[in-house]
Amino acid sequence: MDGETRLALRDVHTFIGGSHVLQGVSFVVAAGRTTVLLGRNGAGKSTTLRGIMGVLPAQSGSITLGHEELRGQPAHRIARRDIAFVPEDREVFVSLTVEENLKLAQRRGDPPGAIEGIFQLFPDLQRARRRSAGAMSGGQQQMLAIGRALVRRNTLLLVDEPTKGLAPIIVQELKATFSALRERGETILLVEQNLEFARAVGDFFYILDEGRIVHGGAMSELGARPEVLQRYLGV
Amino acid sequence: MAGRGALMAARRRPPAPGWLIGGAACLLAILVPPVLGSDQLNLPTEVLIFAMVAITYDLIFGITGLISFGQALFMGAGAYATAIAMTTYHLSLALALAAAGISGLVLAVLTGALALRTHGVYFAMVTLAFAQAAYTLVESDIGNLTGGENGLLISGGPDWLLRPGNEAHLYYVALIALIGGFLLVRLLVRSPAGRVWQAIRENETRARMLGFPPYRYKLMSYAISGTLAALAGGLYALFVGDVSPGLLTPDTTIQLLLMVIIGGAGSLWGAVLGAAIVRGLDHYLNVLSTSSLANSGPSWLHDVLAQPLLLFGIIYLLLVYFFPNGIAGLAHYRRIGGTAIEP
Amino acid sequence: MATFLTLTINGLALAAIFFLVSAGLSLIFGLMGVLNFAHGSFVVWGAYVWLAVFNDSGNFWLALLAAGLAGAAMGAITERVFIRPLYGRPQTQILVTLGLGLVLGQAVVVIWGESPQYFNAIPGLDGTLQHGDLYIATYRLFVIGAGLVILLAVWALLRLTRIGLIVRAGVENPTMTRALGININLVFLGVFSLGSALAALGGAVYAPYLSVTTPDMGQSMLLFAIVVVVLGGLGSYLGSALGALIIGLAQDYVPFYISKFSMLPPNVASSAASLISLALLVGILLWRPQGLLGLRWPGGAL
Repeated sequence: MDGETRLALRDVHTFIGGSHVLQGVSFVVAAGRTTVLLGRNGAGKSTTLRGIMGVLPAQSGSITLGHEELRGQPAHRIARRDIAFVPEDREVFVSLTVEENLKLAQRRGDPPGAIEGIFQLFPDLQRARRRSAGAMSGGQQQMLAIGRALVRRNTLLLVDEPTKGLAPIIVQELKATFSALRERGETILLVEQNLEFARAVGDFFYILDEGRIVHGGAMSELGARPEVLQRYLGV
Repeated sequence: MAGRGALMAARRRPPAPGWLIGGAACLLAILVPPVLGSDQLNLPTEVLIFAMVAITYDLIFGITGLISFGQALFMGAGAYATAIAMTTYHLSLALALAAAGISGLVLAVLTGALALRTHGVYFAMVTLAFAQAAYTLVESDIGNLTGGENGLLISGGPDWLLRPGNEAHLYYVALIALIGGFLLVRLLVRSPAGRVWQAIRENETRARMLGFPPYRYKLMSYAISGTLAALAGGLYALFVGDVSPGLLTPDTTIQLLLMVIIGGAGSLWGAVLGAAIVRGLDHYLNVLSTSSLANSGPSWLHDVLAQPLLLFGIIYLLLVYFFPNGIAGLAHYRRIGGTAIEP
Repeated sequence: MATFLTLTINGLALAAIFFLVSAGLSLIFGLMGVLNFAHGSFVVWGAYVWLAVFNDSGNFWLALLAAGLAGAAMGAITERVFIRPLYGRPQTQILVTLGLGLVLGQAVVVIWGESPQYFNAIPGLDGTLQHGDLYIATYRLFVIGAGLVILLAVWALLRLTRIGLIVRAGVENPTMTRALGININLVFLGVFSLGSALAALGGAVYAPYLSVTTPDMGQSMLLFAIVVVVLGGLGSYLGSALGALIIGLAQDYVPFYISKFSMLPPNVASSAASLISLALLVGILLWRPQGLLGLRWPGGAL
């Protein structure tokens, strides 16, 4: 992989309860590109993302952003390194309005126009700006969750299964969104089970199986070895 | 089902010295009345009775892991049942104590059936609410049974137990009750049911997955605890000679909690020791506060000594923070089932 | 009719006091999942600090301010020293706050003694308004007014400021709030202090309502506050207002109407309101734990 490395994981181990969920995960995320983490349910994809974010701390190994070690830092400090997180199940604040959800992501000293910018990117959200986030559809909430992550300029965007539970037509819209993000030069680490979506939006891929990285490469190579797909992804 | 088998097989008896120490303690206890004399038996008898209640509290708190804020309910219920049975209905001592036991059992099953559907803080709230409800009912003199604010004096009852001069008899009855209660609870704790209680305390979900329905076992523990506490409450009523609503306030429950924590939750004998320490300190601090020593010192010293609960509260805080396993923990007692309070 | 109005005014005044005491408890529990069993002792301390400052200075408002500040200080210390280090150990938190409540409660007795303390009438607020055969104590109207002012002020804080936004988000989802770069620990401290300050103010306002301060004011208050909070919904600010309204009015309506329309003797009737409240508490926890306006099962794991 050429180009600058934005994020690097080296030999990361995570235990949940007594379970050894991540058993030495190592990979890199290239700057300005979309890297997709693939794998079956339970392989540890979400755990990896949450470990990077500090929401579910890893026990050992190294997670570096540039030269800075992230592992062991509290979540709010990692967020302040301009790493944004779009969790599985979106986790928008249902008791707040759309606009309030976006405002929450802003910090003191941020330029005021950012939220309007998000509304430009997602006109649906602008129409719903004063509605409670709990009253929106799954697709709209996904837009909100992504929009919330984009309120600030990010060094890294972590997205966990954005297409989960969404209708195919919404998934198409999401593809367009991710293309727009790519054009903006965003660095994205994406966890996905929807292979077609992953192929459409990703530049690189890794396959995670039972807590270990077993395969990786440029997205164009993903279809080259069907036996790999069959074995680790069941397709 | 390896888990279940391992659970059953893992526990061993404590080494023989436990029996020796216990026996020695009983011996000492038996010698108290002749050594101290009849008129010095107030504090020892009170300690014995409170020790019994403390053991019942340790059963649900230290062994089963239920933080209840309403144990006073059962002690008070037993006390009132006995008082009403004897004073209002002129029943015999045996019937009155039976009434105490039954009232404890019924209340424990009824309140426990409801309360045990909640957990943690919510369980604490519900048990607190039940105790407060009892207090309110009793204080309002409902049905003219309870004597309201002033409580009831106990009348009747056998001379050999209650007449002045026979304090030693009451002491020995309390001692027998305590020893009996202690052995019974210890037996239960070592039984298969007891191991389930401790499993529930450590990890309720895991206990359920091993095939032990937690609700049923918790209710069992709660019911036994309530019954025994009520019996002790009945003895307490006989000892004091009257009952009043004050018995049903959170103050009583807090004292019990203090005793269990100081002695070491889950160790049973710790509860006995805790009762001795708490009641003993309470007594001597009170004596000290009226003594010439306190009166000659700064006035705040006198005030502090007159409120032993303040000192107890501070000791309690220090213990919960730094030594959550109390004296039993300090003595590295190899209890059946590990620490009672989360690490 | 006059009776009904009097009852209503008294009930509203009581509701205002319940609200002051409970709002903080609800926010704290919703945000942090901690039920501060020492909350009741903050109420008592508020009353006694008010008493001390009022007796000393004769200034009612200064005394109120002092009570509020004392509450905030106690809340801040409690959060920092007793709650924060025990994060993730809910059982120990329960035991510790209970002990703290005991110590603070006993400290009141040590400092001020067990007997009830009386104080001078409050200039300007000790009168009675009369309209026909309707008599209303001015102080009760003040209490209702104060309650409304605080209700609106804190509501504005929650709805219109960024801090309020953070608190509301934190009550719903503390983890995601952290993931947005917000240091929620500071927010915990702030909410705890504010909630405790409100409780102390509640105590300070309660004292002239009762015309006396006693060390056991806090005990029954804590239980009422718990009922109000559970009824309204743990973590719901407006819920605690609604709950306070219901319980406060009930405390006045229920005994009167029960003794008027039933054969029950007055002493039982007056306990009826308390018993109904307690039954309500148990019932809600068993069958509708989120209360009237609660969002969800709040706070930390229990």
